[in-house]
This record gives sequence, structure tokens and C-alpha cells, in this order.
Amino acid sequence: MSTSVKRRRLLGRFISPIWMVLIAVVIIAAFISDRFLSPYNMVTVLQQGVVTGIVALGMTVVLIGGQFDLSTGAIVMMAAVMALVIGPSDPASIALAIILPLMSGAFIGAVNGLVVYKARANSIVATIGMQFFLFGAVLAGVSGQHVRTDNMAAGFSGLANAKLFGIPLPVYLFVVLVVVLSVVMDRTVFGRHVYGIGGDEEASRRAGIRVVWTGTLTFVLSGMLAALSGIFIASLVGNVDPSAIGGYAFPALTAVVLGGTSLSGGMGRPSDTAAAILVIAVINNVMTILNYQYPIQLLVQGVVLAGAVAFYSLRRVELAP
Amino acid sequence: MADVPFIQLTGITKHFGGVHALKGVDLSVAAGEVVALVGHNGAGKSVLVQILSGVFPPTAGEIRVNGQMTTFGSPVDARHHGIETIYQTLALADNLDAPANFFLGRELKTTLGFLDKKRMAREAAKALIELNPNLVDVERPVRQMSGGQRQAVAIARAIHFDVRLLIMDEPTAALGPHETAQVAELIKRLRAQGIGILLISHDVRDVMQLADRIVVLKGGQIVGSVVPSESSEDEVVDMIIRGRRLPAGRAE
Repeated sequence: MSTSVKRRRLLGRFISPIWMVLIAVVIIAAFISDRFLSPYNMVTVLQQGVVTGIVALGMTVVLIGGQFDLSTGAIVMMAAVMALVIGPSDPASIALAIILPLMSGAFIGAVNGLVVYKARANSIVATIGMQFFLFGAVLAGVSGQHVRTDNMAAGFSGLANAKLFGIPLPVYLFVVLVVVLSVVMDRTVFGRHVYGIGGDEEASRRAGIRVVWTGTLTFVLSGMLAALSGIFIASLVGNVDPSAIGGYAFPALTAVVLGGTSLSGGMGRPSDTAAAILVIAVINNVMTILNYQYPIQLLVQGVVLAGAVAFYSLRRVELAP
Repeated sequence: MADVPFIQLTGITKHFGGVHALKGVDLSVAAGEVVALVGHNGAGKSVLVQILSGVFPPTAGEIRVNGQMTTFGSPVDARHHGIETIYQTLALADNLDAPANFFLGRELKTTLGFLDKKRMAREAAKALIELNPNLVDVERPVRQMSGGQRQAVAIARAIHFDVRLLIMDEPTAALGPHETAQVAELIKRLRAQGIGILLISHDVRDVMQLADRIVVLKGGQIVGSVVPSESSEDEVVDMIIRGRRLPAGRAE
């Protein structure tokens, strides 16, 4: 092995390419617009990234296990609608508006996990099926109408809007989630087994890993994180259009892939997904500052996703945990 | 033999839907005995291996370990009895490094319950270098290792954890002459330590050298069993092909 390869691998152990991309994108953004680095704008970037980021963290863990969770967008929507329908107006209902969506997300994740790992269904198709089911169920439940809460308690709206040192609470929670998930994936038996399953499911089964249990847990985690994201949306805006907010799975998947999680499983890191989320948020933010409209942003996101997949397949990154 | 064999299979039958992969197989391996299981592809060797390893249960039949009747609900159960398997595919997770594969499913933990990566790396490296001194850089994905190195990882993992019966599924099929000789040495060493070995192979010449007993399987049934010193390569090959012993076949 040449020294340059060795050096590159050593460097890659500490700094993934996506973090270097993030630094580069931030520097470029700062040059493009002096508004970019303003505290107000930085907070906006973080806030925009976090809602998708929480979804992406869960999808990262599922994908490290070698499976896709494409039902997350619908879980986000379901959780947001549930939270608002419960109508968080007093402390008791605030608790309910948080706990019920989270439990529902966990339950849907468990169903996804069992369908994929126990019944051995293809996860792409199974979770898209779950997505349609949830969309249908929620839209039927609210008769396709906007859902709003007029008397949202300060406690509930504070979940996403309250700030500590000028930074919204969800950003702190996101950082905590990234740290916790990084430790879980890198330092615990559960994490190691998820990497094992993603690398070779049959070998893992023969090594005595409880594949169905471990794999299902990854979907439960993903379902709960998607639900958490939905609760934040409900708290942030106080009203949702159910037919308009289901589109979180695709941007989240873009971040997961951009962060280097292998589409065939076994490789990836939650922290890299977080960096990718910020890269996308910065790019979108700069485009907004420069007055590029949503269609252009969508177009750029598509290019980023396809480009990232091509880049990683060419590079065949070696991200052993 | 006065003692009960370490493992004894009686009337093992396995159906996959309408396919009868095994039809009433009896097989035993004693401690310190090398039993070779030979037969064509599709004779049922791999199915038998997987039943013994706890991958799936037999449709019918008994498994006794040290005379005690038991069932293997999972690979963990088989391992619990000291039965370790080196699969022909090696069953390694290619994305993980050697220590991670070595301890897969039985990771060492710190007192706080986290993975003890340092201890696992140290112990795995020690076991691997003992087995194959060419393995210098163990902390890289096994995908990047050569066939011989990968096999060393699979072997080291199988013999590290208090093994009583080692099942080797075509251990030399993918190896060069030098590495094949190393595997033969290893088998002799383990046998001397009182470990039972079930050697699955289609290379009759190979197993004539190594086995104490050769059992021939065809069409899911045991054709017969011979002792190499009292038999010949031709006789065994004939049993594999015809599915019966020569009329002049000698008793085991």
C-alpha cells in the first residue's frame, strides 16, 4: 500500500470528505453573500436543516442495516397532524401531543421492520406501501382539510420556537441526537450488529446476531425520529396542510446518500449525514438569498443526489466502523 | 468406543417443501476424531452442516450432545454446545475488520456496556498472528484481504472460543497448496487436543490422508462409512458415484 493511500485513509478516519465539502460550501457561501454569515441567517440555516436532519438520522441507521425507510415522509405528516388534532392547549394535552405521535411512529416503524426483516419483503416497496397507506389514512381522517390549532399553548409552540442563546431548541436536540447516535453506532453491540447485518445479513445470522430484532429496532428508531420531526413542524407553524408536507423522505435520503452511507448497507455514519444536511441547507439558503426559486432548488437537489451516488460508487469508500 | 460420542445424529430428515434433502441420516463424531463427509453436490452435505450449526432445525430426527438429547433453535445454541462452523462462504461481514468479524455476535464489552474495541483488537490480532503470521494489518475491512487471510479470520474465530466440534465445510476448496498443507496441520493439531472435527469435502484424496473415518452421502442418505487405512480411494469414489458399497466392501 502506498503511503499516499495510507495517509488518505488515516485522514478519512477523522474527517470524512463531506465535512470538507461543508467547510468549502460555507466559505463559498460567505464570499457570495455577506448576508450569509449574519447570525439571523445562520439560525435560519440551522432551523431549516434540523427538521429534515432528524428524519435523515433515522434513515441513516436503517440504511446502514441495508434497508430503506421511505415511509418517513408520511410519518412526519401523520405526527404533525396528530399533534395538532390533539390540540395542545393545556399541559396535559401537550404531553399527549408529544407522546402519542412518538408512539405511533414507533409502532409504524415496528410494522415496517417486521414486514422487512421477518416477512423478508423488499424494504423500498414495503415502506413506499406504508407511505401510501399513511397518506390515505391521514387525509381520510382529516377529510383533506388543513389542520390548525388556534389556542396552541406556549409550552407546545415553544418546543420548536424557544431559543437558548439565540439558537432554537431543536438545534440543540439535533446535536444531542447526532452525538448519541454516533456513540450508539460506533460503541455499542447494537450498532456493531447493525453494521454486521448491513454488511452480510446471512453471515450475521450465523454469527448469532438476532437479525429480526436488531433490524426491526432500526425501523422503530427511524419511525420515532420522523414523528419527532413532525411534532417540531406542528410546533413551529401551528397549522399544516396534510397534502403538502409529506415530502420529507426524498430530501432526507439525499442527505443520507450525500453523507456517504452506502446504498447497499454496512457503511455510513450519523455525523456524516449531519454534515450533509448542513451542506444542503447552506446551498438552499444561498439560492434563496440569490433569489433562485423553489424549482431551481429542487433541480439542484436532484443533481446533488445523483452526483453523490456517482461519486461514492466511483470512490468505493472504505468506512469501516 | 466405550464413551458416548460427542455428537450423535439419529434419523435426521429434512424436507424443503417437496424436496427431501436428507432421509434418515445417522452420524456421530467423537472427541478427537476426524470424520470426513463426502459426496457429490446436492448429496445433502451442506444441509447437514446447517442443521448441526443450528441454522435451521431438522424436519425429524434426534441430536444428542454428550448423550443428552438437544435441539438447536439458532446458531447461538450450537455454539453454546461448543459446535463451531467454518462455512465454505466463510460467513464474514466484508465491511467489518478482522476483530469485528472475529467477535461478531459475542462482542467484548467494557464495564459500562460499550464495545471494548481495544481488547477485541488485541485478542483477535494475537489469535490471527498465531494462526497466520502473514496477517500484519488486521484492522481493515476483510473485503481487502486475500482469500487465505479471510479464511484465517474464519478459522481463528471458530477455534478461539472453547470449541468441542469443529465443522469445516470445504476448507481447502479455495486455497493454494501451501495453505492447504497449513489447514491439514491445523486439523492434526486440533485432533490431538481432543477436538472432534467434521470435514466436509469432495476431494477424496485429501480426506484419505486426514480422516479417521469417511462417511459417504448420496441423495440425502448415508451410503456407508469406511476407515481410510482399510479402504482405498477407488472404493470411496465408487461409493460416491454408485451410491452403494462394492460387493467385496470391507467392514468399518
